[in-house]
Amino acid sequence: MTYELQPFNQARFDACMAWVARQFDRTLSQYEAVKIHALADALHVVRFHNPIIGGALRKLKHGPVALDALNRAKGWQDDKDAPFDLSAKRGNAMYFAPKSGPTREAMFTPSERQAILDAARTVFAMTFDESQKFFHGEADKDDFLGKAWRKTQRNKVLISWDAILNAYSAQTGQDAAELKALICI
Amino acid sequence: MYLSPTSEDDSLPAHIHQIAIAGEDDDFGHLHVVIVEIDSNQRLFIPAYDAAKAKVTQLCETLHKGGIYEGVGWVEIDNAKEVTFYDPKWTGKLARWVAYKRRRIEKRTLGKPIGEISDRALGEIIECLLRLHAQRPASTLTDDELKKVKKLAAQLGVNVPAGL
Repeated sequence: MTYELQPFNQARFDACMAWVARQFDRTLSQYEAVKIHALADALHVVRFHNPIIGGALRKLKHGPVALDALNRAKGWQDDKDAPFDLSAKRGNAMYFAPKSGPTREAMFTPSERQAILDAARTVFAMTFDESQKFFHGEADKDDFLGKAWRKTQRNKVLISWDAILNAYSAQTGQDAAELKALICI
Repeated sequence: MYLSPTSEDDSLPAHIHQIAIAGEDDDFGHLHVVIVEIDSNQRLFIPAYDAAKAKVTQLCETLHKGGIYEGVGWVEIDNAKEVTFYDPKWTGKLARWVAYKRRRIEKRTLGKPIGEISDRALGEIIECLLRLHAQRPASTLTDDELKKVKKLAAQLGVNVPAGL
């Protein structure tokens, strides 16, 4: 079973999220950051067979999450080199505003930038409840990542790329065997 | 003769690392070669896989069916001849270096290099990556990466595909 396609790349994660926040002119919560990461990687994998940021996704209560991404987002407030400042806190949720200065989107290929923007648009367009349905595989469409979360039996275990590709294949009709040959080596 | 290091860094072009990817091929840490230092932290790698493994054959067949042929998606290199391992326990085998599965990894996640690849073999891998970029420019390399890969190609005397 393939759980990871490349080790989590923190610099790419930071650059991606800072760029997204600036592109959409908004703050970013940890919840949004980890969801954008999971979905952007999944979209780029099914489209181009390579992840953007990497890391292994785990079945957590609120959906598929890479713990490395969650820990990094939680750590933004204590890291002076992070591209964000803490702007608000509501309960456990922290909202981060991007620091001024140039963004580093040049470190992504055009196909990666497209997948990141598609993921961000999807995540930002949903209320929390809609997002939970989407990442738990209960939305009507495009929720293959949530379907893979649902198929993964136990909480806190890794979600395999085989499960993600099976769910994507069931949703789109693309040949799962071909996708797996290209991705799950 | 091996490509000379271009900085004091220990993860330079021509150096081989072993990188474990969770769940990939029974958790075996595959060989990867550093292609370029993207910046002080980021590295672009190309992985190598045992050419005898069925999954690798399947990967290459699928790429071929999709119009990404040998020399574009991957190159076959005899690591026993082209790679010098620092530890004699490694012998090297016939491998497919798969440019299609390039990876961007942070320097801090790397261990010590385990060997070096010959200029000739590195040149083949670089040429393959450039051909892949020529065929799939939107999804292969960023502008900065392309500049650095082309610079390395020039150092190695590798042909750069027309239009790049």
